[in-house]
Amino acid sequence: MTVEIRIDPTRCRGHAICALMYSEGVELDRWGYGRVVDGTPEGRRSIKRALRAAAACPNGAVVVEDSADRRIRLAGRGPDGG
Amino acid sequence: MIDATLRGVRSTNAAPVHRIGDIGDEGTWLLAGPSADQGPEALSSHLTRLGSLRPFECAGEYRTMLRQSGLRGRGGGGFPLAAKLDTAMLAPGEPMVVINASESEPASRKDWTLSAYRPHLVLDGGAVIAAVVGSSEVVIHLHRGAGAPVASLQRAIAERRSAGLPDPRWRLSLGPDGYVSGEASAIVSLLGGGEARPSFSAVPMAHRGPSGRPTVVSNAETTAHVGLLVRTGPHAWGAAGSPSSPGPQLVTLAGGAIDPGRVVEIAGEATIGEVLSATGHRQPPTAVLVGGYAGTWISGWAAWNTTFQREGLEAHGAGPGCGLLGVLPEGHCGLAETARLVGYLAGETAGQCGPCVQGLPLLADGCRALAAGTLRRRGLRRLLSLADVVEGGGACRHPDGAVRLIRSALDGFADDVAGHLRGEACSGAQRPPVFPLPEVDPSDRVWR
Amino acid sequence: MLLFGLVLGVSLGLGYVIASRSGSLLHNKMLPWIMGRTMGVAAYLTLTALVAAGIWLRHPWRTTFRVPTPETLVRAHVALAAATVVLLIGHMTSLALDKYAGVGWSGTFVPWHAQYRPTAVALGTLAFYAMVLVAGTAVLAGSIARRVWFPIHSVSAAIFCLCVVHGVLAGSDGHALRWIYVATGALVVVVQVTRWTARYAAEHSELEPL
Repeated sequence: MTVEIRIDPTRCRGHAICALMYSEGVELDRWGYGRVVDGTPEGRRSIKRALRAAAACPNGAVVVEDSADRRIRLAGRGPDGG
Repeated sequence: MIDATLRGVRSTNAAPVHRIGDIGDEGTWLLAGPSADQGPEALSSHLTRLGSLRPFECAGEYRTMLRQSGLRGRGGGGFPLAAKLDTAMLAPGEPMVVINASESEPASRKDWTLSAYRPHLVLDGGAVIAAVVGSSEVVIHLHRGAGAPVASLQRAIAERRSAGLPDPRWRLSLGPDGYVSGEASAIVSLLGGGEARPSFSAVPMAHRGPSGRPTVVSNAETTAHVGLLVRTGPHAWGAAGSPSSPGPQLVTLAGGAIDPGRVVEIAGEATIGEVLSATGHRQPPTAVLVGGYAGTWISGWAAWNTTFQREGLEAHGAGPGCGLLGVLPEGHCGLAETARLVGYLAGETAGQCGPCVQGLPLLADGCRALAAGTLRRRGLRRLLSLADVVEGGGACRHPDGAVRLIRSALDGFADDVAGHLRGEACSGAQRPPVFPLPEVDPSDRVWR
Repeated sequence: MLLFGLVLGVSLGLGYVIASRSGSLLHNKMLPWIMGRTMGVAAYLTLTALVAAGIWLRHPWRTTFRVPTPETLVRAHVALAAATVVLLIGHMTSLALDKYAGVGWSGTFVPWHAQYRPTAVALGTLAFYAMVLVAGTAVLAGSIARRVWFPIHSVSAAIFCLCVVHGVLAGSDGHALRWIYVATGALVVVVQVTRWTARYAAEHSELEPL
């Protein structure tokens, strides 16, 4: 499975949890807003970390899609979680 | 390589044909027809002049023509239209077609002019795009405060309905007036029942828009070109431009131009000097602002012999953008104008992403301090590093545009920057500003 | 891990110094009690730093300082949380084992079951359970707790208040300790209040028209 991770800047509020959970692929700017530096995690460990970051983001700003360009459904996302 | 060869052939074999014309001038492409004082062109006049179209029968042929034409979006992005249409056709679901006639750029008047005086050309283009991608409806989006174009388009739609033209369903949509509310993803989000704020998407809108359907948003001028080039053929149309920006283009003069708000059409590779001469300027101004309020400053002397086309402008780090050509007259301070424009852009954000919420107000403060002569070297370094952080971090290109404007100002007005940093008095900064800004009351801001 | 070790070492050292300076006589029988005290004070210090780091992470004033970067801050927050949990477990175990403390196992885990200042100890017990909830959901944020961990995190405010009161009521023999409670409590209140007012001011100011 290849996945692609992105951060929706309109949702990001700088809680920095993504940089903690997926530190190899996300960096924070001076305000703490996340920016993806490696959007395509390789290896199961890294993919798992990316998925954890997506699940943990309080605003649902971390979006993970699989190679077939479908948004991976994350159970527990709010009604606005799209 | 190819571009250079083509250019060589054109310049040796054909005379350097360029023409700068106003609305109603003979020999123009989009602006030909009745003059401005006759109001919107009637359907009968339009059809007599250009002939009718058969969008559904000829959809395949039109698609080929659009691909051959190399038409690029004229709203600012400059994305090839044919590629957008191909993406939408390959994506699942019936595409949604939107003509963006909202023209958020405060000083630009080209889409206004086309919608007000040549509504049928715009609608023809919409019908062709809809037929090509297989959509049964076309939305024409304008700002609520658009004025004349709304009535003109309404009348044109009614005329076409009673004439029984083979058209898609037309839907006129009016949205909030804000600068970013005219951005493509903001319009589509509004049409989908949301707010007219830019939205983020991991995939191109042409593949899957906010509504879930593939979405083609085409600027009004781009759409009018479609209506025209399927009649003239892509080659004759394309030759009225340059290899990298084929086709004629509309330019709005702004700022300290002799006739600000005037829309002219350039066919062929006209230089900025030729455009300015044709509109009454005798010598290069201090600087020109190219591409919009979030555009690029080029010094007047450098710009004078630069063509208003991609290849010419790219040498100065600029692009045609929405076709705005702003003039900074002799004796005015470019840094003061920049500070005003950045302040305007900072006030016109949708307030969603970090770069706009946190970055733009700080950038605007920095530019104001520079214009006022209170910024020092250290502050300038901070301003530049802030620009690096802001760039590329938003959902739309709004913050990037402000950064581009600031960087080009620091580059283009380097001597002035040095003077301002030393705190020297700047006489130009005291003069009344030349670029008009819409009066915005933040409490009136609506997103629906 | 390094950060965690550092935090643990520093806080234990500080806790010991404070606890021994402010406490009464020391002898061998009192070892569990000394340990409980040391770790209690240390846990209180890491908790304060933990809460302050968490609030500061999203404080509008933070960006005026280059350091610590948000990455460092969020890592420090996690290391402090881990240290607090370890110290807290040490604090509770030592006092539960101490025959003379009048707390015992039931007093440690069941609120109002301690003989020594039941209400004071009970507040600590309640704070412990709330902390288990907050830390547990945060640890499981990437899997089960998903987005709910974040609203639950606001329980931290109550935890901090409980811990201050627990400290004041159960462990404030000595002036130094009392001053520490006042100083740390004030620090957290100041950071939180300024965060709130700065954000309020930012949201209610309009950009000045030029």
